Amino acid sequence: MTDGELVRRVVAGDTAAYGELMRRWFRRILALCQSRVCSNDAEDLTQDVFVRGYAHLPSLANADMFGPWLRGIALNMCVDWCRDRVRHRQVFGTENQQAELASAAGQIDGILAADERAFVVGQVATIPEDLREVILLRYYENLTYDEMAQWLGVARATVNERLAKARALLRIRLAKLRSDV
Amino acid sequence: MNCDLLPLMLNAALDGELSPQERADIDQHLLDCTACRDQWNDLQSLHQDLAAGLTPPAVEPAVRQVMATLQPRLERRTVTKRGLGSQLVIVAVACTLLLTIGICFQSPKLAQAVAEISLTTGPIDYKAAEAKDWIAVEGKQRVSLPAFARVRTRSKSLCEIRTSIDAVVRLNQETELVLHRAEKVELVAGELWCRAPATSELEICASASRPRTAAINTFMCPASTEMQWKALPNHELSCQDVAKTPVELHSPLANCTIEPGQSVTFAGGKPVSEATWGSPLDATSWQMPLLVLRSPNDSELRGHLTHMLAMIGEAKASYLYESQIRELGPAGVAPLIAYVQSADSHSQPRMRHRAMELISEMATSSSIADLDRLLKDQDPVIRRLAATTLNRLQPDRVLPEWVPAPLMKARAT
Repeated sequence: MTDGELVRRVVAGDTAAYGELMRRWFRRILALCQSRVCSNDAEDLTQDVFVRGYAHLPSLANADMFGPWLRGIALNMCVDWCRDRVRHRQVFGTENQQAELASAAGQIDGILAADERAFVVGQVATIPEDLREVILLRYYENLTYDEMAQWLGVARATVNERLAKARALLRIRLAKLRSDV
Repeated sequence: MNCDLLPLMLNAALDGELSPQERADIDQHLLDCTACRDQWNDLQSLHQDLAAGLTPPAVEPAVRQVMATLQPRLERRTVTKRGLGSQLVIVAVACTLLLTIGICFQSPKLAQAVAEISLTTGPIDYKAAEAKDWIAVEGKQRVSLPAFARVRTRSKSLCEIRTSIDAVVRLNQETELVLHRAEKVELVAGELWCRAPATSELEICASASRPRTAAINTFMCPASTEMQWKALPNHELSCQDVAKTPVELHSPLANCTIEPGQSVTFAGGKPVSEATWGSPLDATSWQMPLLVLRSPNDSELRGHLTHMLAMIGEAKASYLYESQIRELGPAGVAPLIAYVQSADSHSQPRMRHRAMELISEMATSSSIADLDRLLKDQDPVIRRLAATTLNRLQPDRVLPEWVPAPLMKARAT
C-alpha cells in the first residue's frame, strides 16, 4: 500500500493506518532529529513530530508526499527546539557538545581496545549535522545512496561525499584516541 | 586509478554502491597500493564498529506511545465521521438558532462563549486567546469566556467558572488556567478544584509548550467526579479525589484509581509518587470564601461548615478551623445562622453552641432579624447568646422579659 493510500485511510478514520505510516518513516525522522537536536530529547521530539503530523494531516495536499511533508515538520520542530534552548540559555552545540566531548575525553584516559566501538559511536554525536544524518540513515535504515539523496533532496554524489567525510572524521578521532592511549 | 578519488570509491564500495566493474577495478588497485589497502582495512573496521554500535532503534514502542497519545483525538475523529449526517442537522438547527439569537439580542459573542466566570471573591484577570492585555473583573460581573480564554486569580482572590456543559472549575489564589473548550481545562499554575458534569467527562491537562508533553499529561475526569489539581514544576500534576467515591482517572499512558482523600502525583502522564491522604473537606476549605457568596443554605457550604464546627474543640489545631470561619467575616454569618436554624442541627447541640458563639462575635446589624428569631429558640444557650449579640448591636433596645436575668441586670447598671 502506498503512503498516499495510507494517508487517505487515516483521514477517513482508519486509526491503524497512521501506525503503519509511522513504522515506515520513524527511523528517518529520528535520524533527522538526532542529527539536529543532539541529545536524549531527539526521541521525544520524533514522537512530537508524528503527533503534530497527525493533527495537520488533513492539510496535506498531496497524500503521496507524506514523507517529505513530515520532514518539513520535523525540520521546523528542530528549529523550534533549538530556539527554545537558546531562550533558556542552553545553547545547542555548546553545552551539550561540550559535555559530550568532555565525556569522550574522560573515556580516552582509560580506554581499552574493546571500548573503541563505544567511543566511535559516541563520536557520531559530535560530527557536523549533515554528516551525522547520513551516517544515521545508513546504519539505522540501511538506505541506498539514491534513497538518501531523494530523502535529503541532494545529489547522489553528495551523499557519497558526506559519508566519506563522516567516516574520515571518525577515523581521525579514532586514530587520535589510539595515539593518546 | 587515481588515489585521490579513492576515498569516495572505497566508501561506495563499503556501502555496496559500485557496479561489478568498478568493484573489480578497486580490488585490483588495493592489491597494488599499500596506502589504499590500509585505508580500506581501517574503513572496514570502522564500518563494523558503526554497524554494531548504531543499532536501529525499536520502532514499535514509539508507535504504541504515539498512538496512545493520539487515541482521544482518533476517537473524536471517528465519532465525528460516524455521526456526520446527524451532526449536520444539529449544526443547521444550531446555526438557525444562533442567527435568531444574534438578530434578536444583537449579542453574537454569547454564541462563542464556552464558559462564564460565575463567582469571584476579589479582582481577577482574563484575556482571550490572541489578546495581549489582561482584563480585570471585579464584583458580581459575569463574564463570558470564549474557547482558549486565559483566566488568572490574584494573591487574595478566588474565582468560579461554569462551562457550557455544566462543569464547574474553581481557582485558588494565584492560579492560572486556559479554557480550551467547555470540556477541557489546562492548568498553567496554582491549584484548581473541578467537578465534571453529570453526563460527560472533563479533561484536565498540564501546561506544556510541546504537543506530546501536553497530550500525555491530559487526564479524563469521569462524569460527576470532584477532583483537586495542583500544578507542579516540570509539567507534573498532583491530583486529589475530593469526593466520597473512588475515581478512575484515565490518561493516554496510564489508568489510575484514586480513593477518596488520596492524592497522587503524575509525571509524564504516569503516577510517580506515593499516594498521600488528607481530608477532602480540609483540602477544599480554601473555597469557603467563594461558597459563602451563594445561598446560606447551600449544601456544599453546609458540608464544609459542619465539618469545621465539628473539629473545633476536638482537633489539635482546632483554632485553625475557628480562624478560617472568622476570616469569612460578615459573609460567614448568614450560613452560620442558617445552620443554627436548620432542623438537622438540633441533634448536635455542641456544634450549634459553637456556631452561635461565632455568630455572636461576627454578626453585624444585617443579622438582627435572624437574631430576633433565635431569641425564641428552645435552647437557653442559643437564646442567651442571641440576646448578648443583640445587646452588642443595639445597646438601647429593650429586650423581652424572658431574657436571662444577668443580662437584664447588666443592662440596668
